[in-house]
Amino acid sequence: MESFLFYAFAALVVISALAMILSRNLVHSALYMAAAFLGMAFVYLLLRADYIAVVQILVYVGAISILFVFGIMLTKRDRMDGSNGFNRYGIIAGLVGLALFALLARAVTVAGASRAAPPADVPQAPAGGSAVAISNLFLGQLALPLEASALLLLAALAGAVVIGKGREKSKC
Amino acid sequence: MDFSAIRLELVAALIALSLLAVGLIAPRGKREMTGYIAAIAFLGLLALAFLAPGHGSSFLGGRFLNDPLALFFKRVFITAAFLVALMSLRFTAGLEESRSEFFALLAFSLVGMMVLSSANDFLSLYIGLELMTIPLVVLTAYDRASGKSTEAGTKYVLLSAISSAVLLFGLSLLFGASGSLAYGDVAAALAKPAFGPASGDPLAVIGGVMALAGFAFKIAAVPFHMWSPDIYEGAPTPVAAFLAVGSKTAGFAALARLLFFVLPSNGGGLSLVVISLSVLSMVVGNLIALPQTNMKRLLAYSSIAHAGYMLLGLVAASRAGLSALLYYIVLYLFANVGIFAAISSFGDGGRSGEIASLRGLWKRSPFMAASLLVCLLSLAGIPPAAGFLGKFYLLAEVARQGKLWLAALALLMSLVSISYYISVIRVIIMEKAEDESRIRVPIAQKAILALSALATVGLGVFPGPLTAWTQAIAAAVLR
Repeated sequence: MESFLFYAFAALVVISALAMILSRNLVHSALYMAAAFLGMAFVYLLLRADYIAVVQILVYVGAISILFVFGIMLTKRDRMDGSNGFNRYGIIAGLVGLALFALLARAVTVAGASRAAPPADVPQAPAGGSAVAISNLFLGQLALPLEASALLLLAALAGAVVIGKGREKSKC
Repeated sequence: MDFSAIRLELVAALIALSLLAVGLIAPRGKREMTGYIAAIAFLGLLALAFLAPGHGSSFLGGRFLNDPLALFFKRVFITAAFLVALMSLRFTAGLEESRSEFFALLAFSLVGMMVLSSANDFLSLYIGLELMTIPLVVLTAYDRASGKSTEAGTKYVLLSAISSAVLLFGLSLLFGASGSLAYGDVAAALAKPAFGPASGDPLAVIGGVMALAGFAFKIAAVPFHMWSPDIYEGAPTPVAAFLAVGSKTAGFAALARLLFFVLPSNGGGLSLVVISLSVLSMVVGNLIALPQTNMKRLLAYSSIAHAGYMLLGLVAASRAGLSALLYYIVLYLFANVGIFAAISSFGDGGRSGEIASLRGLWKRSPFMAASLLVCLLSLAGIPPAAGFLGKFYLLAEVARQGKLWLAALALLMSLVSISYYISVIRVIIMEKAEDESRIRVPIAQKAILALSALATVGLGVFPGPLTAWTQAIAAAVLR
């Protein structure tokens, strides 16, 4: 049952990702991207990563895809033709992508074979879901990166204001 | 939990936040004082880093290391931030707005570099990297009057996002191969006979190569160098200086830790990757630098070549190699900051940076010309400037390990590099300027130039103390 679900969701991810890069209409691309993100969320669920799955839906499907749609709306370029200058490298990029995929696929299969057989069943998530374990990590061992990312967000926000403010003589 | 291990980071973060606050509460006409506050604060932080760097060596169960190596890099970053803040006073005085945020972003970037050099797990590594890069992107695009600056910022954000993606992919493969984010656990897992890259665990090899590629972008090693000439040229000159000395050194700090302690590079395929990066950077950087007519582009290509020399220290992967790398980083810092300070003293704040604008500098400002000369000679590796000894230490160690061809190639390329440094010196001394008026060098720039020239000559003539210090660091961290 699980492997059937996995293949179904993996197919959803792969097909939407392909549709996203092949679609000429940027709004369609953004919607396909949301579908691919949703498929990934289900794959995370199959891996018992419930917290990541919820965050994936909230942040990626909910916020980032919508941000893309807003970006497309505000820049008023809804067609690929007017916005992408690198289309003539499509064939080379495809070949490089395929080569990288082959390399990674081979690496994963060889590495998988060299390891001990995985446990028969993926361990059950702890009571209360993985959020408990993750929050313990972030407020314990990983507290420093958490604080550093708070600084990062503040710096990014200040920088965005500086860049976005425009050039007219403002109050500062 | 011993907070003294992260004392420097805490103070640096406090400086960044205070600078933001000062910019908000200071009266409108007085906002340029944030620059002076920033410079003084960085100087204080530097004093703290030397006098009381905190005794705890690790924090949060070894996820964060404050060992001698990290401390050395932090002192280099703080020095760079201090000099760049001094250099920026003139640039920000010419801005119409957002003067205070400039220095706050500089401080945020400094915190990122410090976290990066201390990171002992992949998460801190990545957050530190982004905390360093994102403020730098904003600083690159800071010159709103110049289209080139905006273009450079756009290029930098796109390319660094791609390099971060590659790095994250590599780190996730390493995580998959080892099951942990902490360096110690990853190294232990990869060192197991069945899993080590030497015996060919493909996940670890590909992950390691991708992580190397991510940092090769930061240090601007060929073939991940394309961004640096455009961005050095477009960015405000002090920011280009910070990119050249701060961001590049931070890349080396992270690379040194990864290559020495996490990815077993000796005997594995990874040392071949590092050698190729080094060779390509030396050859391509020096050859493309030859025809350049813009000083900032020339410095970009020469800094690519210098990344190649510095990679030799990682190729050597020994105590002497690490010590030579650290010595080189210090001399590279002073020589580059000196040259960028000279460019930024010109009337337009170094926006154009054409080599032709240096014509007749010997007459227009003898002091600036002399300091510039010392820094250029140091980069070219001509004694008595420090660059000669730096190259000598690196090449001697590589040759001692039997890689004679590599040392010979580096020597050949360094001879090639002399020709373009000398051609700049020829423009400074021999060519006549159309405009023979004297250049008024701002006092901050004068101080930086004097300090860089003195440090460059001083390190070349009395290398003893610094060499002893770098050797002690190498002996302390490499067993």
